[in-house]
Amino acid sequence: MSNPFASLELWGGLFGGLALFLFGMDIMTKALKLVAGDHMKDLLARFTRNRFVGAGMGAIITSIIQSSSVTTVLLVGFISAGIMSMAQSVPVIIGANIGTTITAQILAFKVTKLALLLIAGGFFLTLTSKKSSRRQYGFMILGLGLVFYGMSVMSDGMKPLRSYDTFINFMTTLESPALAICIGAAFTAIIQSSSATTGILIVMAGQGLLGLESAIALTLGSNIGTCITAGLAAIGKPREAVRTAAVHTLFNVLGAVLWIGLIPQLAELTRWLSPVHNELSGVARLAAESPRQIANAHTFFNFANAFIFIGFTTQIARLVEWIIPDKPIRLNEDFIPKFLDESLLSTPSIALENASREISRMGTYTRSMVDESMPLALTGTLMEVQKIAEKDKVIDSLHHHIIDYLSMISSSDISSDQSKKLVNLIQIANGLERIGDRIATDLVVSSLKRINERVTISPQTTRVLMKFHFEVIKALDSALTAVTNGDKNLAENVRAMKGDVARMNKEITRYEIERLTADAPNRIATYAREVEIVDIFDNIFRIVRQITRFQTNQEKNAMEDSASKTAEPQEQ
Amino acid sequence: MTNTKSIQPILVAIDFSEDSEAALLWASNYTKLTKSPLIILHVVHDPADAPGFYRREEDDWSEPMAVVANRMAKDFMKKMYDKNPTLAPLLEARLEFVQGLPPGRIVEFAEKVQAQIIVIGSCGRSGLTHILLGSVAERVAQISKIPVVIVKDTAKQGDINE
Repeated sequence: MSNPFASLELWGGLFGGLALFLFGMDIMTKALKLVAGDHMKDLLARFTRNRFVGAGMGAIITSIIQSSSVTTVLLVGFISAGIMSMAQSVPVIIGANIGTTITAQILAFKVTKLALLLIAGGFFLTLTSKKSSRRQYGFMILGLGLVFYGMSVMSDGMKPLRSYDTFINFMTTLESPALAICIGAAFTAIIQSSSATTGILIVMAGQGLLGLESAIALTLGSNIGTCITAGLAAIGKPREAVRTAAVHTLFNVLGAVLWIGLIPQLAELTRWLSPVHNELSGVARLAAESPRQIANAHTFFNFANAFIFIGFTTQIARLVEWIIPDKPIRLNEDFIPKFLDESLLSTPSIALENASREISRMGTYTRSMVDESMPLALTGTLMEVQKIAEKDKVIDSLHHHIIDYLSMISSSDISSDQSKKLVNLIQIANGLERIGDRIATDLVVSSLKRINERVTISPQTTRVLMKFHFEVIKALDSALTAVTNGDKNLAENVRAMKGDVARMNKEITRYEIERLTADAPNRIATYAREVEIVDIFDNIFRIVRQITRFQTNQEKNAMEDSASKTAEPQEQ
Repeated sequence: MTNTKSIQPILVAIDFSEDSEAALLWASNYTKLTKSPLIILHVVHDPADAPGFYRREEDDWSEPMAVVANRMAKDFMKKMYDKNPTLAPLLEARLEFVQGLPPGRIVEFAEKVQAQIIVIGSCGRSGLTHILLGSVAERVAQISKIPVVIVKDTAKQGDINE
């Protein structure tokens, strides 16, 4: 083995063959997913209510795509999308290991002779087929051929190992099952294919380099190592998906632990079950018998594990839920009032300030809702329309809390000044809530009609409506600042906008009528929607004005009070 | 100041069962008395012991479970309105969904919204299953710092002969 070329031949054969094997698997799996991906989703979602059917489904799908980790990665994907649950995936994962036994059994045949034929046939099919599905079948055959060819290259590369002492010594250390399991797991985790590990073991056994006991331990390890693929796929995914990857690991680790002390017995059983070649002896006999024995041992313990664990799917699911708890809830904090401190109710002046702050917060939400609403009314999609209706829930919730809080203040001992302020605050909160309602009901209904009737608002009309919207937003902004800062002048400004907005409204109406008489497509429906939008925003503007009226009332009341207070001493 | 609790919502957790109906009814009546807001919560979770909870025959099986849960909740609420048309809190209630493991999620949610009480249907398992798995209501009662009311569908027990 000191010859550098012999070493090159060995490592080149081993890694080159492995690369071909994995490349072939990749081609085959991709083609299979393209041909059968949609069916798999349907099958998995539909037939996983019953654990036995679920396990059967896992076995069938894995035997087709030839990889339990790909099945688990598919499950992780479906669970992340919310199509399947972790509880449904447990039997599928258990069944998946049964599916992998088919691969091991196929690899134990002297399939390497077929390799080049399959490569040629598959390649020919991909070249000559015009139909996409037939080309994918071509890729599947080509991939399978590459898998077999990879095995044959590895097998040839390994021949010199028979006389390589260091290697033989290393192989004897594999008689320790725990070490062999660890090596099998680590190797499989690196190459991310348990079938490849089994393939290599079968090749090595075919060269007479590996005993059955060591091969069984390495295969058990490969079942653990294969879990890394799904584990990697579950990174950053929802908790349910992470739990599924954990089920895969848990099942395979427990499965390996279960057999670790029974490897000699399992080896005896498989020797008894597998064909014997009495006509051969020594390494030749080992080489002839071992590949099938390894495949049979692999089949036996995977079936046995599935039969044992299928009775404990609920417990496995529960255990994993316990091991991997939920992440802290991410709730929409917007619904919860920030300033309504109940402990301050005994000090009404501060409590009123708190209510005022909360109303200001409610105003910010209302403003953002109004801001988004016009573009939505003009071009919003169904999803966007539904989303804005959800926003009103926040406003409704805050309104509910504010009114409750104010009613609690009112039941305590408050001055007449505070009482007036309280009434104004209630009216301002009511006004904001009505604005939210206008959008969540009228505007949403109008937008849904626009979507259903396929109405397109023209760019010219869009410009006019956006201008109108801009004025309403301006009024709302001023009103909110007036309410927050107690700015009377700003409140008066909003009230003075009435004339401008009314003029703009008239102009739009005239423009709409002109367009109605023009020969525009779908003009009646378009007209109806545009008029509706103008009406809604006009209505919102009116509510905004009312809000500022409460503000100016408040100012007026305060001024009257201070005037009467300053007048009082004079009277004395 | 006798009414300081009214601002804190009442949280009722539902799983669309008959016990849930009873819990929602109880919570709605209690809401009426206390004038508190009512939040109805459903935790979207496919149970480990009976997977396929959100896979009803009439639904599209490729739909996400959260979407089906939403529809099931709306169907459930419609049934409740039809049965109790005069019970105003049902109409005013906020319906919420969270994903995760039900007992923990219910308690966590209740704490987040500062609920004054949690109302939940007893939804009892019996016999060995109960010993092995317990019930969501019991677990909620165990881990919650907020008072928990467990409501049983009394009609199911044959206690009411009205």
